[in-house]
Amino acid sequence: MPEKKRKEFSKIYNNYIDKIYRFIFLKVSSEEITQDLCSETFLRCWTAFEKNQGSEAEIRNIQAFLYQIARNLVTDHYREKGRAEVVSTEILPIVDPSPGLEEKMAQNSDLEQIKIALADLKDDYQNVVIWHYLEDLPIPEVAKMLDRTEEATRVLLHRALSALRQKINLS
Amino acid sequence: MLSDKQLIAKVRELSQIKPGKDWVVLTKKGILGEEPSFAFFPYFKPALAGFFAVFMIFGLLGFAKSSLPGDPLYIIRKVAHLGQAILTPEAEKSAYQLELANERLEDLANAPAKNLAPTINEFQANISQAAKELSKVDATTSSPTIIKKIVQEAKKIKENKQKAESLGVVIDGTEKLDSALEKIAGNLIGDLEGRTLTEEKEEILVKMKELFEQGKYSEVLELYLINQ
Repeated sequence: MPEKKRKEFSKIYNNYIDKIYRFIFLKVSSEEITQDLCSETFLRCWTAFEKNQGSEAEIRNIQAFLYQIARNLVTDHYREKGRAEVVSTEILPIVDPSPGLEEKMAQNSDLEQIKIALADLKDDYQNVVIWHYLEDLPIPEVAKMLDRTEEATRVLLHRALSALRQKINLS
Repeated sequence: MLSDKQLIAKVRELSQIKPGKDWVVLTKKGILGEEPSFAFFPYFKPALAGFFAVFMIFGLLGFAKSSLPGDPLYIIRKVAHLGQAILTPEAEKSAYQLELANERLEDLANAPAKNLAPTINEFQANISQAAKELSKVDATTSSPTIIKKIVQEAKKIKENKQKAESLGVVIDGTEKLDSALEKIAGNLIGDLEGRTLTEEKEEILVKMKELFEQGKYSEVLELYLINQ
């Protein structure tokens, strides 16, 4: 049974590692921090999965669960850094220190521009844009993760896109 | 001014952000531990290895059971016979070898041409071994059950040999069996001659001698057993 759970979680890990990594990286803009938070996300998820899977408390929506852990960890990360600290892409190192990713970002100014603009949006706007346009999640799924109605999610998405356009035009 | 479509296309470019492959693998190992070495064969777990081995052995024995001398799988059948011969009690070894010889004769009936010679060779080897074991048998002291089994198998060999010969297969090597049985029957008659017998037993001894003269050694032993 533990081996079966391990295999199941191995598939989950393979399916979601890129998405969760990207989600965190777009919020913290540091590969080192992203790696720490991302591995912690999966570790916490595995602990819950191993403990509860097959019981009544089993995780119903693994994707939503992973994103929720990641969001909480990002929030905790900024809280630890101090409430006074302003999280701004202008003062944070935007380009990841990892040579591979750094090179990729530097070579592509468009990519860098959209990343900065996105990171400068408020949290709900970031999430809705990332989930719907980047990760292709349907509106009902995004609405569930945001705990909003579908209509409210569409409105949020529309506003987020306008805000993003404004940021890009300003840069 | 970017259109919605252009803006969305730019957002989608962010999918290029991906973690390093090495980091992904190492992190997974850190969380879940090492992948099992036999992951490519999910049933080959150490706990199941014994069961798997037994399953394979019985599977091979099943296939080998219908193999004939000259077939690649016959070696497995032969090894099984050798193992059984070792485990057979000393007093029953001769009967067991005769049983094997009979099996070979029965095989001959179904053997294709390429298996005939190896099957006959195996039969002769079994008969030699049986004769060797029979040389240790003394009908006067052996258990009647064992003598009865020897007689049954010896008679069956005669029948099977006749059947095989009727199909045109020439089988040599049974002289050794006759010789061994002759010795057992002769010793038995010699022993009875030295005893004081009732009139009825004397008559039986006479009949036994007649059969012995005719070379019907199995029948000598059979007659003795019936009237024990």
